[in-house]
Amino acid sequence: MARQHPITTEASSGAGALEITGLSVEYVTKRSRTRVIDNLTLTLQPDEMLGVVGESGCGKSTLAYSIMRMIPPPGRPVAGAIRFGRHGDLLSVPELYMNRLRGDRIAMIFQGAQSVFNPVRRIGRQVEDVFQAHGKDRRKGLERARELLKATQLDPGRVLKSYPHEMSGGMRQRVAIAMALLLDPEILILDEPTSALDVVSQAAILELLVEIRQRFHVSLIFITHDFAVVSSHADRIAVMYAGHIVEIGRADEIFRVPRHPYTKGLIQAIPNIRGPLRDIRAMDGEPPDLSKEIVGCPFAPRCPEVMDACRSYKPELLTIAPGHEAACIRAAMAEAQ
Amino acid sequence: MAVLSLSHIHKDFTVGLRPIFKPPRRLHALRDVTMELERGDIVAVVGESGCGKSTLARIAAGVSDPSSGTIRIQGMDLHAVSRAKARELRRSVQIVHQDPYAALNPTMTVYQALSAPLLIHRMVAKGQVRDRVMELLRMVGLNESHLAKYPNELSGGQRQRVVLARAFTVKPDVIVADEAVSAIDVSMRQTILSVMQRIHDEEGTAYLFITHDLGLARYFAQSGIIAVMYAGRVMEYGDTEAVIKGPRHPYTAILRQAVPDPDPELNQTQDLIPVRSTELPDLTQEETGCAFSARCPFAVDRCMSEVPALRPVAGADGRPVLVACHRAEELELPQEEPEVELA
Repeated sequence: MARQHPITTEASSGAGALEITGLSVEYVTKRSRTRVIDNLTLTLQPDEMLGVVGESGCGKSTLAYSIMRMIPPPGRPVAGAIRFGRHGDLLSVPELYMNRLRGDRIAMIFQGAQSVFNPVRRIGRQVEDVFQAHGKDRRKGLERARELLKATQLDPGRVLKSYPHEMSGGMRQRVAIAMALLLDPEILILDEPTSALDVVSQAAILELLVEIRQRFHVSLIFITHDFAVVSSHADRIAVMYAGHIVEIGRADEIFRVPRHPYTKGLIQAIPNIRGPLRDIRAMDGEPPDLSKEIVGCPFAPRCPEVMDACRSYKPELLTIAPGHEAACIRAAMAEAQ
Repeated sequence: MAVLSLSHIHKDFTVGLRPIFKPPRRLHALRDVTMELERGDIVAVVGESGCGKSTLARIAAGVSDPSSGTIRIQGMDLHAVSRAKARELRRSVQIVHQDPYAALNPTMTVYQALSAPLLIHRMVAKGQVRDRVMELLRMVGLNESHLAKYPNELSGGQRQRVVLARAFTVKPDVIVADEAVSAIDVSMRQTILSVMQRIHDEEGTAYLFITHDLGLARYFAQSGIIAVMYAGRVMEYGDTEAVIKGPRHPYTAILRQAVPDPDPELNQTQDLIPVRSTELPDLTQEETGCAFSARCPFAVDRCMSEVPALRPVAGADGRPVLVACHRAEELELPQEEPEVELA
């Protein structure tokens, strides 16, 4: 069955690894219609590590699920396209074809490394399962697994014979990363990969991801609620708020010259360890209710720099500096002057 | 006089099946922990998962009993006083958990949640209950409109405020905050922290602030104390800024360097101490040496054979900190560099 949709393997063109344009996702029930992603446009560059940061309910996980076309019902994409090179629009390719792409060309590590494994099968068997499911040679698979486990600084002999419960959280996350790379994907999506880990393990995983990206030429989408985690390791950061990307740009630039008031607030809310103790500040209010229609900028009710125009006009992402975009009227005006 | 004092607290748990002919396997969650809180003190306890910090919180709050050791509240040994007296004393230590969703009864309104303890403990006369509830709500930044709400109608941040207000109904001397803001989004964390800070400033409430987040510990206990725990033991204990700027225990130094900094440049100068492993020791084994020795890049033979005592060592600012490391004096751990002016 699966052979009816062989995956083309010619080299991709020079464009972005993934181009999302005008994506909107809604959760529709009889009583409500909640727009969790609203007209989102984003291009993932080849071999880059893109950090997607935002608070609960901002749509960052839904973005990941949209790319995998695995949005849990009743959610569904209502507009837009996700172009993945020669494969076309991921929102409209046949389900069987999508099935072949998942895990093979685009892999995802879900939140909670504890739960991604089958608890009653040894890791070695689960590696074989991956290759079998994709109609590939299992023996070659084990060789590849050995290579990848070594790359993630684990002992392949021991890990392949282990059950998931025999490993610590940090080890499981390493194994999950190795398994996700088994079929040599072009894109790896990681949803809160370090949130369940202790800070020392987290630091090790972050170093590992940086290394893996270079060695295996894979684009990483790193989703997290922790700004410091991505600003320290990602190439670019996309800041999400209420279903929108409100700011995107190079990590160091976003940190040094944040242009969107929400990004500024997010940075000011992190207590620092190095240097003199900074005061942290809270933002007023709470994120908007996405089941109601939002007029104007979704951040306006909480924004310390709000202007009248913000309450009636919804800002789009505008280029503020080369490679730095923000969806803020004030930022755009400051730039125009 | 200390409002809460814990001395030589040990806590064991039985793990696995209970064998018939030999003693059961014991997991040593806490080993010889001693801590004192005076009125208005803030002690932040930091450590990784499994270090015993939550067990310590539960014991301090009286939710769980220690296997051995003494708990004194207002100078009185809980085991030496009558049960009625012990209950009365325990009331002065209240706990706030991580999950405000689970901490509130979903079928009780905010008013009910806050009035029940006032009535049960006869904190105020019946006629004044409503006034007191309003006073508590205002203290945590909520108002009359929240009185009739059920927990599911409140956001996470608002729920945690209700939990704080409830903890405060009985006017405790100590609040044990076990990861109290960890489940709250960063943009709203500071409002909860400032409520806690205000209660501290106005009422002199002491805090045992348990967290895995070193940055948060530094912020909340900025004028207080940090206790760093590892494998059930306190590894370092001292004034917050001294511990953060110039850790004397290798574990504290490794923990500190592992915290990612939002500034991409600061991270590139990181990793001054190599980390040998990220695995925690087996807590069911009897201790033969320093619990951290297996991961410590500076471990010597003595570290494997002798458990280091928590002892005073000169800290970064000259004042003593308590450190459980044989080599604390001789090691040159990375210290905070002189402050650089940022443009």
